[in-house]
Amino acid sequence: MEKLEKFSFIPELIQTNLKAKNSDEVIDSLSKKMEERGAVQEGYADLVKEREIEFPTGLRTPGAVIAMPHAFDKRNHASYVAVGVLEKPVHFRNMEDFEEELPVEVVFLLAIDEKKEQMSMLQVLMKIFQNKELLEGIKSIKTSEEICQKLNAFLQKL
Amino acid sequence: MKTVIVACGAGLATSSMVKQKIQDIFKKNGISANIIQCTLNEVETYDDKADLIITTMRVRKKFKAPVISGSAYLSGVNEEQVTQQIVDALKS
Repeated sequence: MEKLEKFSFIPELIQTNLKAKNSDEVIDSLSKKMEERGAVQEGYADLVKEREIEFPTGLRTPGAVIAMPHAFDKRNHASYVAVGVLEKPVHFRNMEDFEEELPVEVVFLLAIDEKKEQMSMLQVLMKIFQNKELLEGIKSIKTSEEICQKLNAFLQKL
Repeated sequence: MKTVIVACGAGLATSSMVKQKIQDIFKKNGISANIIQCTLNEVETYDDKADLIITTMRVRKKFKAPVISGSAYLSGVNEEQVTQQIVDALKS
């Protein structure tokens, strides 16, 4: 397989044992991390929450029930992914069936720069979603550094 | 030349993921098709010329062209069955 671009995960954007009562709280918490890092601008969380209502992003994958909330914000200047491993599952609606609530375990909050071709980041994510062992592993790891290492090691092998 | 629509909410993130996969499948199966990537709301405008519509979400609205869910390509679940459906839909 051809080498994918330099996209990589950042430990500061990974949260283990994330406590949240609902999907809004997960989005708030991960957006805040992105904001602190300068990855997104203030107000991004609200855009994502609005979009999640119209187009839910919950998805059942072989290794975990995930969600990939995102929004399009012209102020985004690069693409980032924040990862939250939830202490207890939180409901997100299923992207395939808006009426179904899924107990989501791992959330990937995406910030996408529309102006740049970000196919490589999206491709990488797709490969992660499809990897049962990797996602199962992530759920049981206790520190963000270890998760980050595991994800980036996976990217290296692609 | 077939025309295939790949759609998602905003026509960017999940449809980009699926589009890449579809392109590979077409190449492998010798299908020559023009792929149009768009938002779910735009699908209607392409319906007349489409041979197949692939979306990442379930669509209730009825279209003239057959609709297949492409979310299998995101999760990897049932990918082969969906690929078969797509190939069958375009070869007939």
